[in-house]
Amino acid sequence: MKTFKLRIVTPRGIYKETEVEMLNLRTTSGQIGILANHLPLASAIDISEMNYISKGERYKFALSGGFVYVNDDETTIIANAIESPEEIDLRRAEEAKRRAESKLQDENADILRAEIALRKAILRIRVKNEQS
Amino acid sequence: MASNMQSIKRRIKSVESTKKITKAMQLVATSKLRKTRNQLEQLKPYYSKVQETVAEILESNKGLIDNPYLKENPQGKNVYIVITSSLGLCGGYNANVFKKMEKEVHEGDLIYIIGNKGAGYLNHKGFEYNHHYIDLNSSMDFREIVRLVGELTQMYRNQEIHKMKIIYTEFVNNLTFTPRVVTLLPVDASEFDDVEVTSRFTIFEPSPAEVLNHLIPMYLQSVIYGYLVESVTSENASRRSSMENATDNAQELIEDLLLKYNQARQTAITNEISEIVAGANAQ
Repeated sequence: MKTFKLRIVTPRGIYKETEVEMLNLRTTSGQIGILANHLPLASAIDISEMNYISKGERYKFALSGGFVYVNDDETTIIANAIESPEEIDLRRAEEAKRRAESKLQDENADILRAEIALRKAILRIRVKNEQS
Repeated sequence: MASNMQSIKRRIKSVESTKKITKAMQLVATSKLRKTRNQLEQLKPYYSKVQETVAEILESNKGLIDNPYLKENPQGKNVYIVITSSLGLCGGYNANVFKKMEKEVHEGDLIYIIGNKGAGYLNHKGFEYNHHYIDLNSSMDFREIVRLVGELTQMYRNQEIHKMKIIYTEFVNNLTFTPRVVTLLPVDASEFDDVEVTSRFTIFEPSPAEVLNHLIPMYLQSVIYGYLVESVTSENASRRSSMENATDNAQELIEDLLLKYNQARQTAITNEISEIVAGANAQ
């Protein structure tokens, strides 16, 4: 299968640079799959699971929102935070989930921010548990 | 004479201990400088990619996008983010930022200060400021930046902010740092340098405007974080070079004092000998 170059950059530097066959992610307008020779595309990514297939194997990641940019020769994902299942700290995610849930009960709290935090926490827990 | 020798010796000791301190601070600053320079390098791909994409969207949709981040708000306050240091002994680093600030910032502007030295200066001047992000220069926590940008973009959309600028210190090389003022909002694509627009047929999902709405906060986060890391790099470089100067000066002073001490010692010995000879001759 034809491959293309995928680059994931975060504020801490380049997270991953690899050849992949297929990339799956969820943009703000829905799930998309990207194969080699895709048309140039720019889109925001939702807080969601992202995965790619490289040498026939699927690799999963929890992506806390970001941005994807597909170009002729390479695809770039710009993310503030990305974690593989091995990197996810389950206890921390569960704590964050509880914290966000209690914030949602509180009327004075910033509901929007609590909701985002909750979604990130749930995503991390799901990606972690699916792996094992 | 003996008392003079004693006092010179005491001074040599005191200068030596000062030299030890400045030498240690120089070494610490050197290692910190290396660390922040690495961080700056790692940030580059992220930062330039975001900037490139924003430039590309703006370039390929010229005049078509009606986006709140691209327009100057008719009313509201001017907001300044000012990056200073929390520790002293870093040469002219803070003073240069203050000079720039004096020229730029006027009464009634809202200041987001980073660094204790800046807060102290504003207190002294009687300016009001927001100190919630004062520790950013030591924590360098990206999540805090996300929060700051969230707060400011919200205010900008509500038309509470007229313009948003940042005052930081540009890191030119290990010895040169210049304070700069950069406008963050409204976003002005003409300020982007060395950005090449590669493809003009990009699909934007769902629409260019929607993509921009997501991308501009990310762009601001990356830019502010980049400027922060750059300022801290400048701070460490400035501290390193001023501590190096201090160490060199201390070394010079010690050599001078040692010469004086030896002269005094020589004089004392000569005096003593001539006294003994005089005494022997008298007998």
